[in-house]
Amino acid sequence: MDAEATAILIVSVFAAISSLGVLLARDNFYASIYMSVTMLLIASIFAMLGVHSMFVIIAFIFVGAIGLITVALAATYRYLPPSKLSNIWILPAIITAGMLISSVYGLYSYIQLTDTISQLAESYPEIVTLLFAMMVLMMLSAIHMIRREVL
Amino acid sequence: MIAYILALSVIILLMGYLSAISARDVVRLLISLELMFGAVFLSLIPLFTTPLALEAGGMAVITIFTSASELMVLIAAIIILDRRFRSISIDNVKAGGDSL
Repeated sequence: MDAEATAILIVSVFAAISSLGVLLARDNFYASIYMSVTMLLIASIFAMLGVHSMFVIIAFIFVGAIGLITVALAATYRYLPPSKLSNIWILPAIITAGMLISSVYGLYSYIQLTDTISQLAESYPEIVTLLFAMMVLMMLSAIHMIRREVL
Repeated sequence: MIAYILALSVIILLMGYLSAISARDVVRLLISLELMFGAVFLSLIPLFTTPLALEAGGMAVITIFTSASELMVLIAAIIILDRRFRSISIDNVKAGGDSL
């Protein structure tokens, strides 16, 4: 792995960590700060790959304008709700994320293989597991919204 | 390299989705949507590896400006919601629109 790929990998790890900060931060202000940091890291990935126009557009228009308004709004409405993330979401969310990431790596490896049909047939149970986990997530979302509507 | 970037896009999209689902106010919803748009921008990177890089740039510009417009509409909606209800809680957003 060359230096450019290593740098992109490091920036990607930091972007994933700061996006996790958006999820875990209870204060809107800190969540918006974490979001701005994530967007700047995404823009820096574009810059490291040589797409400088996208870096300028994301950094100056998206983060500079929209992100700044969001930070100002979040600083105005510093709403601190109690944490409502239920533990029953953890298992289907982890399964879905794991399956999606593994399918991305699988797709990357399929490009280098000739017999793609047999590989896809072998991964059929994995696709069923992924669809089941996503269906559970959608059903949990529906139940969550219905309960909120009743209350 | 593309696989790493797509995996990061999926992770950020999932974080934004979970944050949007657990949001209790519309400002957090706005932040989550911006995060999900960031994941969409990351998923555009493989387009720039094709010979049609110029078209990919045009597509990316259209995507960014469209998403920025959508977010501006949401910001305006948040301000109207605060003026009307004196609250930004997501419980105030109900189906049905204006009461007759």
